[in-house]
Amino acid sequence: MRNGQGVKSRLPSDGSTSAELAATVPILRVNRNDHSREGLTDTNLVASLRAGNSKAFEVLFYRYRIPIFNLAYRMVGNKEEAQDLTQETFIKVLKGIETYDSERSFFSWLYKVATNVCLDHIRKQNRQPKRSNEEMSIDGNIEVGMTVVDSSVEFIDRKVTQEAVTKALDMLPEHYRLILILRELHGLKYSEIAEIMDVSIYSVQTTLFRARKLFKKEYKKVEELFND
Amino acid sequence: MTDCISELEISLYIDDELAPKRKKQVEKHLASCPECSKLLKEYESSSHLFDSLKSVAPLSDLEAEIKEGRELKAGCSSEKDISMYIDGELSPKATRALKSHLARCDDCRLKIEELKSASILFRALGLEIPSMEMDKNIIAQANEMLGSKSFPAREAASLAEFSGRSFVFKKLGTIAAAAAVVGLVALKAPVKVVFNSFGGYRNLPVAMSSVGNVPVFYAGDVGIGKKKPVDVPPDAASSLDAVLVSSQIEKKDLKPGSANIVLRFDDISDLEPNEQGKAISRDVIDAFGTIYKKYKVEEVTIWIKTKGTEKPIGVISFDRYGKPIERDWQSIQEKEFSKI
Repeated sequence: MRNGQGVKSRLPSDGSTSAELAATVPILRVNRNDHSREGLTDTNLVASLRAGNSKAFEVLFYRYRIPIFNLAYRMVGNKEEAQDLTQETFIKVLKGIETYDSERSFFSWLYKVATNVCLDHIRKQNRQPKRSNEEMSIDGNIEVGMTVVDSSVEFIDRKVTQEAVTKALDMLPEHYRLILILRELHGLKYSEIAEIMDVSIYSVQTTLFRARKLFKKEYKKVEELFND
Repeated sequence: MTDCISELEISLYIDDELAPKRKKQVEKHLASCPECSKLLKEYESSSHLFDSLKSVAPLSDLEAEIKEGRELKAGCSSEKDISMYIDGELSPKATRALKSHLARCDDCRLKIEELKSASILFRALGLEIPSMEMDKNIIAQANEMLGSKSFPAREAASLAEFSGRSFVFKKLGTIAAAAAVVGLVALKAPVKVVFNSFGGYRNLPVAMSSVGNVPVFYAGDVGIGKKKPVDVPPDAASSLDAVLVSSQIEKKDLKPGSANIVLRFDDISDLEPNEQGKAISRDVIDAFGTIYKKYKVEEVTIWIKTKGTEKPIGVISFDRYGKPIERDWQSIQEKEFSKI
């Protein structure tokens, strides 16, 4: 869609929306099943880490660092803070590695720690994430996902949409923001979200649909602002 | 006094959705915290608007919908059901019912597209990369905590490939080194990209991290293209390969100065060879472009990983616009893919 109008008409109107959505997977979904060949499953690494193996920590860290950082970043809106929260998360995880319930998957526990670290942080400050201006620069994550041949129009379209989505997300209460991030950006299933947020699946269903409604509302508001 | 209650838990408390143990804690806290009590009253007062609809039994979807103040046409799906449907979380029976309803109901089809379009908006958000500074700090702190405990030889063997490699990484002279987004200027290493790829979707997201000293690209296909050659389960359609996979590439085989890209065909080994080539070429080319622009790679060595072995199959250079030279890619396809 190249109409140069920023946030509007991002999608083809010919019904191919469904196909497009079906073809996408959130970019932060970590493939957790793929490492069995090398014996580097999360379970093995945790066992190794419990034995004091620092290399195991490194592998786990590099495996999850991008998703966790992005989770924090989308929650608090600020790269520096997100880095601090990421550090806090991994260190907390390391501290608790002996005692965490190994019935539970490492991934879900890690996410839980990250979630709580972020929510605690937000609670201590005011509700609105502090977005620094640098995040909206041209260089940076915007290039990710662009096709090789990008017209400047498509480029601007995407940047504006990014800003709008970010603004709309920031307006949501943090639990709605969190659940949308977990579902839409991390591709987690309801059962995983329920485990991470320590709520029932029914709550996930309800909260998610309310979050989506509210997000749409906020997004429309932002759209209107942009088109003024 | 215990920590204040989150808004979510207040909401759950009102809905009587808290686990009994937690509920007791919450009530205990409410007894002594004026702020949380106030918050509870605020939530309750809006809930009161629906008091006449409250029932003792758990809310059915219909009641929940009314509670949200929406009017339903007879038989139409609740928004919550639709929300669950697009997430693939609706029960098989309800899904079938909804699908057959969709065949007859424009309103609901519209609702679905609306919700899906909101989901697609999130795709516009890119990936943020944290600084190497953060990595260093975290690793350093972790190492300090772990001290110098020795570990069993078994772990040492399987993790050996992550330690102490040194490589050379060449950058284009014309692009200012300062433009390197993730501080690659400081790194000297051939870069390995591992793809999990079998589809034709464009806009392949690529991000970069490192394992130990070795930069690793996170890249991946994000789904299945229009020509769906194979039924791939949703789990396999994941988009990030988070760890350097191969232990079989010898250091001597990595070509200095070029990025190394490994294409994994394990997932599409059922395909005819030329179908495989087609299936991945589009998003591989896209990813190359991204890698070129973002990480200023001059050329790329392609490896194939198939049936557990990896081997280099050719080199692709970039033209000055950052597009991979199609000719290079074509000849690789012709030469190699038929052998798979």
